[in-house]
Amino acid sequence: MSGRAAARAGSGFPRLLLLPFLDIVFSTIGIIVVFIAVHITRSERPFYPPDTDHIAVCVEPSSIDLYVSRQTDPVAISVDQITEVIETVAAEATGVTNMVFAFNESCFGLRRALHASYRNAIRLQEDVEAADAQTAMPVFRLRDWPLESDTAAADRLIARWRGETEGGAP
Amino acid sequence: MTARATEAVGRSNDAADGAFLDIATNTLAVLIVVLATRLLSLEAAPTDQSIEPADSPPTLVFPVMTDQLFRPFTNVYLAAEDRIVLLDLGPAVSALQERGLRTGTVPQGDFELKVEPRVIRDINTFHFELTPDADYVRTSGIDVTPDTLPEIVAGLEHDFRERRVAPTFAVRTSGMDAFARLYPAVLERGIPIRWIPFDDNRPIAFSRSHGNLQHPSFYW
Repeated sequence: MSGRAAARAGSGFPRLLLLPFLDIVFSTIGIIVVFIAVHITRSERPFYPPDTDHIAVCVEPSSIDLYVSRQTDPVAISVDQITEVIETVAAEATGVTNMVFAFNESCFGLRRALHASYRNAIRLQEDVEAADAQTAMPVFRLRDWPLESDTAAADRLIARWRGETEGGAP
Repeated sequence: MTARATEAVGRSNDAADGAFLDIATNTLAVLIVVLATRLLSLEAAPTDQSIEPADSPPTLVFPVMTDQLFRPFTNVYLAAEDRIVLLDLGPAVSALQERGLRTGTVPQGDFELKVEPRVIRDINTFHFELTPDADYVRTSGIDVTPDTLPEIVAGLEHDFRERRVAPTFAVRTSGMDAFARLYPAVLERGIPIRWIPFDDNRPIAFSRSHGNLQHPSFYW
C-alpha cells in the first residue's frame, strides 16, 4: 500500500517533454519579433494636416482668379462662368480636394454666388455617387479665407501657398 | 495492480503533457490574435473619413477641424468698424423672456425674433436678427493691432483649451481688415474658427430650421 502510494507520489509529476515546449517558445518569440518589426515601420509614417489643392482669389467684384495648382498661372473667371467651373472642379475631384476662396471686402456678393454654385455641385455629386456605392465618394471642400484690403494681400497668400516665403507651414 | 497503476499514471502523464501543450498552443494563439488586432488598429488617423493627410508638410494648411467627434461650443463675435467684439446675446434673450416682446433694443443693437407660426415639425423653428449698434461696437470692441493680437489670440485659445468654446465670427465689410489680420494667427494656434461675412445692410441672423439638420452646410 505504502509502496503503491510512494510509486504514485513519485511519478505524479508530469514529465516535461522539452522539445515541443521549446518549439512553441521559440515560435512565439519569433512571431513577437515579427509583430514588433512591422509595428515600428508602420508607426513611423507621419501624419500631416490636410493641404490646400486649389485657391480662388477675389479682390474686385467682377472676377475670380483660380489657381488650380501651385505651378500654374491663374485663370480669370467671370461671374457667369462660376457655376461651370465649380461643377468641373467637383466632377474631376478624386479623393479629397480642398479649395480655399480668398477674398476681401468687395467680394461679398460674389462669395454668395460661389457658395451657391458649390452647394449645388455637391448635391449633384451626391446624386451621382449614390448610384454607384462601390466607389468611395470624392470629397470636395470649400473654405473662405479673409484678405486685407491692400492690393498685395492676395500675392502674399499665393506666395505663402507656393512656398516662396520663409517659414512655410503654420 | 502495480502495473496497472503505473500504466494509469503513465497515461495521465501523457495526458498531462498533452494538456500542457494544448495550454501553450492556445496561449500562443490568443497572443497572435491580440497582437494582430493591435497592428490593424495602429493607424494614428483622425476619426473623420474626409481627412486625407498630405504627403509632406503643407505650405498652407487647409482650415478644417480634424477632431470631429465632439464639435465645440461656440461664442459669437462681431468684426465691424475695424473692431472685434464679443456678441453677447444675454440682454436680448432676457428682454425676450421678461417682457415677452418680439422686438426691442439693447445696448448691442436692435433685435427681432420671428417664430414659425405653424408648428410643422418637431423642431422649434425661429429666426433671430440683430442689427448691431455701430457705437457699441466702436466703444466695446478691440482693434486688431500687433500689440493686441497676442492677447486676443491667447484669450481665444484659453476658451478653446479650457472650455472647448470655439469662436464664430460675423464679419462685416468694415471689419474685414481687422479680421483678416486675426484669422491666420488663430489658425496657427490650432483653434477651430468659422466665419460668415454679412453685408452691411443686413442684420446678423441666427436661425434654426429643419433644413439645418437635413443639409448641414457649415462645418467646422
